Amino acid sequence: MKTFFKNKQAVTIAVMISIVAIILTSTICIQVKSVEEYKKADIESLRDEELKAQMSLYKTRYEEAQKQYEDNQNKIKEYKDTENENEKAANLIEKELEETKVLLGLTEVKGEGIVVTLKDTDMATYWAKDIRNLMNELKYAGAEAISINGNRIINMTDIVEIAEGYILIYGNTRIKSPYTIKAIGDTTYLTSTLNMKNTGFVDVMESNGLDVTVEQSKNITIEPYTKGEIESKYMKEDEQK
Amino acid sequence: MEKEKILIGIVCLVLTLAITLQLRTMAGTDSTVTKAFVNDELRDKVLQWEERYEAITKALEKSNEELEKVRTASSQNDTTSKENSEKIKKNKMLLGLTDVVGEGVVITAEDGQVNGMTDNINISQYLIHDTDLIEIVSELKNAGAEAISINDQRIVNMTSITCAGNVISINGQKVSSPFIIKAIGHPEMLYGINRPGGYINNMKYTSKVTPPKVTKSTNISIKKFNGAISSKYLLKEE
Repeated sequence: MKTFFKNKQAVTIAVMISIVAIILTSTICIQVKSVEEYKKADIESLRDEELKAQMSLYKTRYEEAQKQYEDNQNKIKEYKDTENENEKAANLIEKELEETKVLLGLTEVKGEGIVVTLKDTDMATYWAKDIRNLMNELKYAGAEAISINGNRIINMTDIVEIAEGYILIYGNTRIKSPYTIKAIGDTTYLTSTLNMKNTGFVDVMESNGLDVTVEQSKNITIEPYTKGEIESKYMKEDEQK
Repeated sequence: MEKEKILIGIVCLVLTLAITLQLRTMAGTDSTVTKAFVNDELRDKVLQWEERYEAITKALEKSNEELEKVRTASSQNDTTSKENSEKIKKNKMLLGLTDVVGEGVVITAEDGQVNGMTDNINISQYLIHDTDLIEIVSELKNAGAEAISINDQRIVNMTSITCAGNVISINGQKVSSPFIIKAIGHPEMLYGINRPGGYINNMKYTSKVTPPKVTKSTNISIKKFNGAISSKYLLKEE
């Protein structure tokens, strides 16, 4: 040992290596800590995504309501302008009535959107639940009009099955594979929602061995609801305000 | 001397690599503190938009009332206009844009209570999921429901029910357990969702939620949809 310490060079090198070893060890420790911090920050950014999505939704809803409000104010003005002009008033009322029919689904509508095709195969059949989930997802993605094999989906439309592969719409109209679902809305948003990795309709169906294709279109025509008057036997307007 | 120089050289190289790696990792991470700060800002923004949204829906409600008044007034002198004005009112009710009353059923669906200390509980079994609500709403529609709401969120044509973290989002609004589902329609038919083999009955066996209660009622009031039904992608024929 004494000879070792007498050799200056050896000592210098030994000291240097020790210092380097210490630095390396502390670096590794800090590195591990950083990864921990990174994970925490990752969770915070997940909340970020949620918050951003929430804000974007409020913004969209706000803008829709704002537009409706402005439309209303215009209509109010137009009605007020029609004092003693019955024909003008009659036209305004007809126009408003037509608008409510469009929203109810009683008219043919056109617009951009997507066409989703679902096919039964020998390996796997579509259940009513799958189609219901698709409806939910399309609505989440802002679909404003939807039809399945020419049947318009309105608010109280139900989709059930009474046996495998025997699916009914409105409780009385059978639909069979292939199911052609048309939806009018923001094409990009509709497509990206359905194609969301792992959780989107396409991935979920395909992971169950089911056949699904999504096509975009600039010009979709969706059929009107043709099953008669919409029932309102049990509900009445609440006159108490 | 050569051996030592090479040794030092290698050590320096390794050290440099270690430091570089460290710097790169740090560059890729905003500290948690910064993230939390940005988070707070975003939270404030969300609250702001929520307030704006509440304000505009109130204004919209008032303007809908006024519109109905002037429309009714303008239609008094013409039978067709009077009829059409009534039809508009009815259609708005069908669209879910008015408060309604009637007989039907009320369903209470609540998350389950976790009893005692169990190590390997799957908390998911105790929760009401968006899929449960979708199925219940579907059965109600099949049973002829004319109006449905969940925690006062009216089900309209564009309504979606999705999972939003720990809560459920309906019409873009967050709702949580307990879920009060109201449906107006033929009470006996609606009550049928409680049948053996029906979804609600199955829930009692397949999950650990509080067993859902279904009650018939002669006087249910369901609130309107607060907002505008969008139609900006439906091309207007001029």
